[in-house]
Amino acid sequence: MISPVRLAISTLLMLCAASAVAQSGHMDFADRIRLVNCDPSTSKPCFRAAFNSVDAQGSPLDLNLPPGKDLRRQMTIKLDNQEIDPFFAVSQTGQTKAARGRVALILVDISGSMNIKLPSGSTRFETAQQALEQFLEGFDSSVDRVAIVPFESHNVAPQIQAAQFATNKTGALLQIQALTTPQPRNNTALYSAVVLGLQVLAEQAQTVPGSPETLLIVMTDGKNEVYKGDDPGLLDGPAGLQQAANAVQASGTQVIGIGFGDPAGIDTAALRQLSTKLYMADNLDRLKQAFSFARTLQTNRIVATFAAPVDDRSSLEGRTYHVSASLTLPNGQHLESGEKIWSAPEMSVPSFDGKCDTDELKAALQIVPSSTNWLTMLRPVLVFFGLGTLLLVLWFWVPRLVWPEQYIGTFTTQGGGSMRWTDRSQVWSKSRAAARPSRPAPPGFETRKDGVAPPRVPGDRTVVQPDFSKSRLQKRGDERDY
Amino acid sequence: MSLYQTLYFMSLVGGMAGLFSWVLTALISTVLVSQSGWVSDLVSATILGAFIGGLTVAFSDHWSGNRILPRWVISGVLIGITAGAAAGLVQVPITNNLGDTSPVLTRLIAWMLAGSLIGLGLGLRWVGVNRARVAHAFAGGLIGGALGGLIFAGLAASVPELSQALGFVFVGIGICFGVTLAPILLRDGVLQFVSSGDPRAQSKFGRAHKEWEIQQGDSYVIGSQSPDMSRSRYRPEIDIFIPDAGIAGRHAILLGKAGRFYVARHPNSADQASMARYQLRVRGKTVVTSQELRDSDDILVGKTALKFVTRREK
Repeated sequence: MISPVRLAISTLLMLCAASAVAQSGHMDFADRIRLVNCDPSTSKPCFRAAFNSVDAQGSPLDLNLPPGKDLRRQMTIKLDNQEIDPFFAVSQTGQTKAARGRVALILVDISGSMNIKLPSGSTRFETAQQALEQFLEGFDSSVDRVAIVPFESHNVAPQIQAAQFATNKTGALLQIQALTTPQPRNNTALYSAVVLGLQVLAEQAQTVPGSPETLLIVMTDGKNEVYKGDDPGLLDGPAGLQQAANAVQASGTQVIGIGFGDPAGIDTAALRQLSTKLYMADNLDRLKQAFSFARTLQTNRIVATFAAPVDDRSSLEGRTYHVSASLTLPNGQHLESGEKIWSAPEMSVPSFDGKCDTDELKAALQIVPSSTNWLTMLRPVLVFFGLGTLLLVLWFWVPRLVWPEQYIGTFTTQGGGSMRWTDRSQVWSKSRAAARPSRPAPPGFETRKDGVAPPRVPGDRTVVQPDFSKSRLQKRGDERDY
Repeated sequence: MSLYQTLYFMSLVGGMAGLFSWVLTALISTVLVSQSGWVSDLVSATILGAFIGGLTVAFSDHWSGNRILPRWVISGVLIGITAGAAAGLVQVPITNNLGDTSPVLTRLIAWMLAGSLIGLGLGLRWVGVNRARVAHAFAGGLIGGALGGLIFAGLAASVPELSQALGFVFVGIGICFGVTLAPILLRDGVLQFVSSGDPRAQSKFGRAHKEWEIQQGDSYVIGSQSPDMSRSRYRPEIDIFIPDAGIAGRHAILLGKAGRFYVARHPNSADQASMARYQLRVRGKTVVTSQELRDSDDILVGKTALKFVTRREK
């Protein structure tokens, strides 16, 4: 018989344990922060952030989240140190209708080691084929697109680039069945496969209207190994790993790594660097669970949309925001997210990553204040004319002050023509002009004493002499022999 | 136009190029609202390169030659585009690696990269005459880019459009300043226009007190060959162009060698008939083959009087 004291202690311990588990839950960014266009509801630029609620091990948490309106009120977004309430929030699950498309690419390692048999008697490859079906649970033909592509170390690029995204479960199942059986000579071009997979995924996402949620799953049982005889130019070594990791980071895509088989043979450090979430599995059940987690992370997301604290897209240029979020659950529990950076392009105005969907537009219309600001439209015009005028002043006016002797103007003569005058022009009286010393006229132009020029004869030649009066040539006249 | 006037106006040309490229970039960003961040930067840098390349070549030729050749301007535009695009592409991995940890530094690097590479591309135009000009154009672009980047990063939050426009303007000024300053800083001698019996030369250079900078180790072709007679795709074949009927297309070569300067007849005008027709005199004496130049020497080329000044008298 259990004493009441022991029962009380054990209950208390269970509660503490439950509390500890609950407190260890947090939100992970499931996608990059997207700048979305909510025009015509508001001209303000808006951000959309998607989160997964996960436990300390990274497994998806099944939370009892409040419905839309309440969820919005329970969420707070922190933009640098500024707290912003989202105008729209929704908790998406596999059961609810998705607002946006979902595109997933699954890269399956078919290196020679995938032929190793497990204690169950099946090979790793056969087990993977069985487990992959788990990912297709709840496949929604209206939003889901999935491609399952094998990779090893031969024909890596053509194979991945030829990925066909199935729009129904049957098509996806056929792709699983059609996976090429691993050959002993196959090595593992893991890094290149990730980079190519991200490219293919991005291209596919472009073809889906709106901004679909993308997911890349990389399943491998080993590490990056490429040797002579494999495809040329495959990524390898620390540099290759860094390049692939950079591609993952730059894409902002959720990449789930699944290490399958003997943990000692898997390069978990590299796989962790290449993925935003890593699951390890050594049997069919664990592998199914990993695929199930991956599917849940893609379908179960908390999406929050909020207005940027500026009036227009141009005002975001040159800015970097540190974004984090917190969510208060109905039971009072707080879920915090890590920090993710949104940064405008280095030299230009940020572009939109997508458009707000209908629900977001409706919410924005009700909550986000309209910000039609004439200054927003006038500002670029003012900047252009302001800087243009400054440059014109610097071009036409300032040089006249600095180098006045080189600037001449024009004035209209009585005859209707125009004449040029320098800044130092003066009007001289006739007598002063007559007294002004002048250079002798060139041959043929001499004035006679009576003031009349001698008539020119056909033999006369006009010779214009260079003016050496300002040169040293004049001073050294005695020395030269012209 | 004196050296300092050239420096002043070329800097303004860079500023104009920056302003025009900002306008075009702003228009494009209004139309294309959904493109990746790196594509936006690539487009911005490319447009900046195109304008700076085209306008720099056009104005430089306008002031030093007698006409602007479209093919040289197009070459300048293409080189600017290539340099700008290269800067945009090189920036991608830098942003990926540094963007999250040091956003301001990344921004600064992007602007410096754009400025320096565009400057480098433009400087290549004068590599045959003055190799240092490439390095100086690169450095000028780097400094202009840094200044532009600092303005962009510092002012963007308070004056968004102005910061970007000023950034572009300063990058342009920096590049053109660097391209023009290089020969001024490094000049070992200056050839000054004194006067000319040919009214075209007198009209073009007389009032503006035209000066040509001369550097040790380089050689400059003096002539009256119009740029449109040139077969070069990017730069004039005549370095010191004087529109004087008494000057041969390729009249003389002025070169600096081992600390000394010489003027020599160009091989194209060294025959008896050319020597009789096209004058080349130094200190009043006819130059038959070559003649060493000393400080304050008077040179008569055709009907044009020039004065050579050097600070390296040996």
